Amino acid sequence: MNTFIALASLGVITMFLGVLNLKKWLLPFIVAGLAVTIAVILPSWNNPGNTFLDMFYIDNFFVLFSALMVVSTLVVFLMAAQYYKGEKRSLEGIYSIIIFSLFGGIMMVSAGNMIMFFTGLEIMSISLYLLAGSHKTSYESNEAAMKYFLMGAFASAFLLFGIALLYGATGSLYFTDISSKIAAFHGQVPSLLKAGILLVAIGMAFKVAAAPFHFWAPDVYHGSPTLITAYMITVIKVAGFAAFLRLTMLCFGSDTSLWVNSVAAISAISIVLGNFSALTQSKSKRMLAYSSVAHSGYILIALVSIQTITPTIIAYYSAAYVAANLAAFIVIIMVKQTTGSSDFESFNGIAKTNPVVAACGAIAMLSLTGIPPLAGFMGKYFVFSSAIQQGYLWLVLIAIVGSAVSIFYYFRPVINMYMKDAAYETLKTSKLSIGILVMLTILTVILGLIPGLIINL
Amino acid sequence: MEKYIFFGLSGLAIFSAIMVLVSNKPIHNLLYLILCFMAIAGHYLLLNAQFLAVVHIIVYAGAIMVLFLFTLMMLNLNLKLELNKSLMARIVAFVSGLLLLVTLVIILNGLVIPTPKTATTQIGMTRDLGQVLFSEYMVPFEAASILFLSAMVGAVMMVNKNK
Repeated sequence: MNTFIALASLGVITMFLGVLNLKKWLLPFIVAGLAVTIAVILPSWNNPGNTFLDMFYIDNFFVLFSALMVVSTLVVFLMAAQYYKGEKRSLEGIYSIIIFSLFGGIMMVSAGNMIMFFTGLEIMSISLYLLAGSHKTSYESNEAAMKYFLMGAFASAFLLFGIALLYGATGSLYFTDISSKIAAFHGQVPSLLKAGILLVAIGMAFKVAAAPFHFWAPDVYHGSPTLITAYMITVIKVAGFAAFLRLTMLCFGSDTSLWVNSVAAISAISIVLGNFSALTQSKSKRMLAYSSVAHSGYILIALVSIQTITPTIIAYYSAAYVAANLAAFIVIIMVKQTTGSSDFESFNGIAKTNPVVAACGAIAMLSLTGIPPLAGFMGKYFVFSSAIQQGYLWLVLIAIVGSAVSIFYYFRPVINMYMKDAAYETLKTSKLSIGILVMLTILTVILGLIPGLIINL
Repeated sequence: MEKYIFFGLSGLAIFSAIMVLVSNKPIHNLLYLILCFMAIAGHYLLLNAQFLAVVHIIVYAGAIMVLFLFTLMMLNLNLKLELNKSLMARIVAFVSGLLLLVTLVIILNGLVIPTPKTATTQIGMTRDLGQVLFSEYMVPFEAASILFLSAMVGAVMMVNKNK
């Protein structure tokens, strides 16, 4: 509960700082506020808090994922200093909406009741529609907001219909009640329940951009302001998957045969479509959008093997994914601010002008591909090995082929950075952004070398 | 008696929902949508949920739809809607909609529909609803205010003149 109060007041005070014309203090205050939020979250480790009549759970799962989300939001805000440099309009609106969407995401991750879950999801999504369109003069940003809004509203409708059918079949909105009701059917499940689970799964697949429900992702991720894309592709993705995981563990976990084949199919399609579509892209943001579709597929493998997997493995995978993606987006922001475009050609010759940036960007790409000993490899290794234990060898084979294909597109910016000549003297950077970039890269390497840091928690 | 009212209202709701899609004059679409909302409000009344029924009419049919109507009038959009979707897009939309329908029909095939009972529950009464809302569902109820706050901030951000 304290986490929610801290985040909500942070968002409201941010707005007032804007009203009082204290713009200089905006970012330092938000960073301090998010640090306080982390300090509020961490003591709940091994120390479950008040659940408010089972409405939400403050447990280790919550601490793992919400701490990850808050830390990544912190990094996004640190990048905001460079991204919005020289911006004349007032930014407190955008900042407070980012905090509100984080609030929704954390609410979704901690939910123990369908109403709580759906309210959190809507707070998160509606804030995101606004953020996607926050670059008002850009045609692409407007298009992204419109597309995201229409598709997202559609997906929410599916989800809500599914929840209603689940309520009709089990007579409860609490995850644990639904789970015990499903177990009590002993395989003789009513058709309402099947339809409900199907629709909820479709809605969630929409939200995490898993194929074949990913068609909004490339346009939205490409059109949104780059900083917001970084936020969506990391924090929101983690929120979506943590909530999906919570739903499958607490709610549908008592009879996996109902949904496991569908999720395996969605996962396989995501891996194939995501990786092969990314091959033909020429813009870095679009490429990362398709790569995030493929990564959705990899994380869905973890859901398939829900009986053997632990939340720490998925948290580890998410942390590796977030660190690599944030590093990649810092490089993209630098490139875009220097050259005005995020095409692969704009990456030419960074290794000569800014060797540190190029090295960090290359390590991020290697980690996303899954090259040992980086964090991305260990994450994939843990997820795949637990899937093999469950007998999903075919799915793991598809995933490995997909990873092999992904080398081609992840290496294109790396090749451009190292093999070609730059058209400019040096990138527009700041000490802060270089510092964060190096930190994220070190984190990627350390997590890869010592995976026990998160896995053995 | 209730059975006939139920089927009558359902028929009306489905008819007006289809008309919303078929009719190509914006104002007509809007009026059919209001009719659809009214029919659904009737369903709520049958379930003894007076509060929900009244709120549904006031908020949806009253506030939101009138807002839509004003927008249409202000923008002077009362012309025939031209649907310039390509044939391909239409076929794809039709097939995917059909797929969902078929899936749902197959799943719901073995469904045993219980005979409708007269609603005797008091949960839909304003008093009971208020009690549940401020005890059990306190947290999501309060959190919904963040949703509105966020939407409001966003609306101000979007219409703010300085870019």
